Amino acid sequence: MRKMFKELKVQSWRPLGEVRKLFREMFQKHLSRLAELKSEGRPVGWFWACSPTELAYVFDIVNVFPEQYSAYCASRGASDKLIDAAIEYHYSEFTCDYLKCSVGSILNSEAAPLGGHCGMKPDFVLDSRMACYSGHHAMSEIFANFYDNLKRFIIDVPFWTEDKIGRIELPAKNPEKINKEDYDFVVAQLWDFIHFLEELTGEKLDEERMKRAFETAERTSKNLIEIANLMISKPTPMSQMDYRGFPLIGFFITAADYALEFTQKALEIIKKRVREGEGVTEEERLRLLSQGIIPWYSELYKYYEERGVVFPLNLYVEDTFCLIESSKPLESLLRRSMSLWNCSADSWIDSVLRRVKRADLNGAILFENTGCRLFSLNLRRFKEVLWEELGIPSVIIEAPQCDSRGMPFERVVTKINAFIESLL
Amino acid sequence: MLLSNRYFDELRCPEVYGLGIDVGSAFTKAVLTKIKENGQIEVVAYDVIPTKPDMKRCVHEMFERILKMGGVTKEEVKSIIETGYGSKIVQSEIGGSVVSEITCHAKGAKYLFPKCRGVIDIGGQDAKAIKLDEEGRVVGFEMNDKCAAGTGRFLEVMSKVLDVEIDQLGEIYLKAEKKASITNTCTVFAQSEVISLISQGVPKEEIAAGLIEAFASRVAGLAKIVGITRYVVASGGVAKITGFVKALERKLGCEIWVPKEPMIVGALGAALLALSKAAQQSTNMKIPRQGL
Repeated sequence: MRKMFKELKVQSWRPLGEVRKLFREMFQKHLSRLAELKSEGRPVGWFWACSPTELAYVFDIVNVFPEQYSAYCASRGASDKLIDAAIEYHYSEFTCDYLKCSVGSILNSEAAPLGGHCGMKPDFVLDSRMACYSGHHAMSEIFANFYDNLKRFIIDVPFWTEDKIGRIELPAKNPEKINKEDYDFVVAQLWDFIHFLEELTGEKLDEERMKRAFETAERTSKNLIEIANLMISKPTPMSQMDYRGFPLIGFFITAADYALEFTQKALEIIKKRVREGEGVTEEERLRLLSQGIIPWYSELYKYYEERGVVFPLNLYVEDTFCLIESSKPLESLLRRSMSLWNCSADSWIDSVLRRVKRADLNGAILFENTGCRLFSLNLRRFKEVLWEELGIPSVIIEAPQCDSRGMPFERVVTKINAFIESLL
Repeated sequence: MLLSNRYFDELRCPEVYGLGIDVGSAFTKAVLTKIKENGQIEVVAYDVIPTKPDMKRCVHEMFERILKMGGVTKEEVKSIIETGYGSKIVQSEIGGSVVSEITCHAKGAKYLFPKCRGVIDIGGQDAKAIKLDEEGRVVGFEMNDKCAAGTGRFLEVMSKVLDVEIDQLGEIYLKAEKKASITNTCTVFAQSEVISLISQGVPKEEIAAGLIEAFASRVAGLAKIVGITRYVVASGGVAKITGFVKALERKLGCEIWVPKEPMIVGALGAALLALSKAAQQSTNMKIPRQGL
C-alpha cells in the first residue's frame, strides 16, 4: 500500500463579514446602554458567568462582566499588562487569568481598555458559584476589598450530579429531573436577589417588564441554539473567530433587545450560507472539536481554518447557551447553572458525545487553561472518553485564556501540526 | 520465491532523491536518500553539524555539504522536507515543505526498526514521546517543550557543574553503587541542588548517578502518559548515553532500541517523506513498501 505525502495548503478563508459587523454594532449598543443607564444614576452590578443577568434588564441595572471584560482585553492585546499589574500586587501568576485581568484593570486603569475597573466601578457584585466552583466567591471577596461599601449578594447552587438531575441535554441545558429541594433552595435565593434589587433601586418588581425580558431572552436563546445546530452542518458555515464572541450573548445579555436583533440577523445569514452549501473555508480537510476556554488573544482558529481545518463544534461556546423559557423564568435561571463546570461529567457526557457524533469530527483540540486549572481537570477523562467511545483522537494544548505569553504561537502550532499530520 | 517480471517493471524508475533536514536547537542534521532503479531505498549520505546563531548560513552550509557528500546537484534533489525548530528558515532559504518533528521521528524510527511502536526523542531543548500503531501511524504523543528539565540541555548544564564529560555521565551511572537523591528536576534549581551536594562532600559519582536517575524518571513519565510500553526506539543525542538508556529501560520495564546514529532519526524520516512526496509528484513511479 502506498502512503501519500499529505500537507495542509493555505486556501481562501471566508469569515462572515456581515455577522462580524453586526456583532460590533451590537456590542456598541450594549456599551451605549451601560453609559446611558450610568448617566441616569442606575446602580452598577458586576456579574459572573451563568448568573441571572436577565434580571439586570428588568431593573435597569448597569450590568458589567469582569470575565467578558478580561476576554475583551485579551482579544485587544491588552491583557498581559493587566496580568502583570496583578502579579506585581502579589497575586500568584498561577491564579485565575480573569481575576488577574480584572484586578489589573483596577490597579492599572490607565493601561486598561474602557477606562479600567472592568469598564465601570461596581455598586454591587453578584457572587455566585453558578459556573465556578470557588473562584467567583474568592474574586468577589477580593473586589469587596478594593471598593468601599461594595454590596455583595451571594447565590449558592448545588454541584449538579447525576443523581440530582439525571442526564442533561446540551446545549439547551435540559435535565431529566430537578429535585424539589434543590429547586426550592435555588429559587428562594433568586427571589431574595430580586428583593435585593428592589431595595437597591427602590423599585418594585415590574412583572410585565420581567415577562418581556424573559420573552426576549427566550427568543435569543432559541436563536443561539439554532445557530449551534447550524454550525455542525457540512461545510461549517461560520468561523470560530466570529463564533467565539457568542458567549457574551449566551452568558450575559440574552434579555437585551439588541442581542435578539443580532442573533435574528446572524441566524438568517448563517441559514443562507448553509442552504447555499458555502463554508468558512474552500475545502474542508479536517473537522475538529474545540473544548476549553478560548485563548482570546490568539488567532489559532483563523490559522487552521485558512488551511482547511474547521471547528464545527465548540463546546465552550455552546456551554454558555441555555434555553430560557419565559413561562419558567426562575427555573431557566437555575438551569443555566448546569454548565459543564458545575455538573458531574456523568450527567453531560452522553449528550456531548451525541453532539460530537452528529458533527462528524476527525479529532479534538482540548485547551488546558492554565489560567483556570479547575475547569481543565475534566479534560483528561474527556480525552479518554472521546477515544474509547468514538475513536476520536485529541491533543491537549496548554492555553491560558488571557496571558498570551503562556501560549507561544509557534510552539502550539508545532504541536497541533503534528497532531493534524497524524489525522491526514 | 521468484517474483514476476511484471513486479520489477513496476518498481523500475529513474533515480529519485529525497532530502531531509532537521534543524534543532543544538545540531542541524541532514539525510539524503534515493530510490534506486530497482526500487530500493538507499541512504546516500548524512551529516550533523552544530546549529549556529546565523541559521541561514548554517542551512546553506549544510545543504552544500550534503549535496557534495552525496555527489548530486541541487537540481537533482527535487524534493526536500524540513523539520525542527529552524524548519521555516530552511523553507525560506532552499524551499521544500515543513513537517513536524513528531511525524518525522516516527517515520525515521519505523524505517530503522520496523517493529517500533514508540519513540522517545530527547533533543537539545525538548523531549518527545510518540506512540505508533502497527502501521507506523502516530496515535499519540506528548512533548516537553516548556521546561529544560528532561532535555539535553539539562545534562549539558549538569555535566559542566560536575566537570564531567556529558558522555561519561552514563558510564558513571552504570558503575555507581549509590545514587544521590536529586529532588528537583528544574534545571536551574537542580543546578543549585548539585552545588549544595558537592559542598556537602557527596561524591561526584553519586551525584551524577542521581542526576541520570532523575532525568530518566522525567522522560519515563512522558512516555507513560502516552502509553509507550514496548518496542521503543530512543533518538536524539542523549540516546548515545548508554547509562541513560539503561536507566530508562529500568523505568519503563522494556528494552529500548538505539540506532547507530540516533541524532539523524528525524532527518531520516524527513528524507523518507521527501521521497514519498517525489514519488507522488511523479505519476509513473511506484514506490516500494519498504519504510514509506
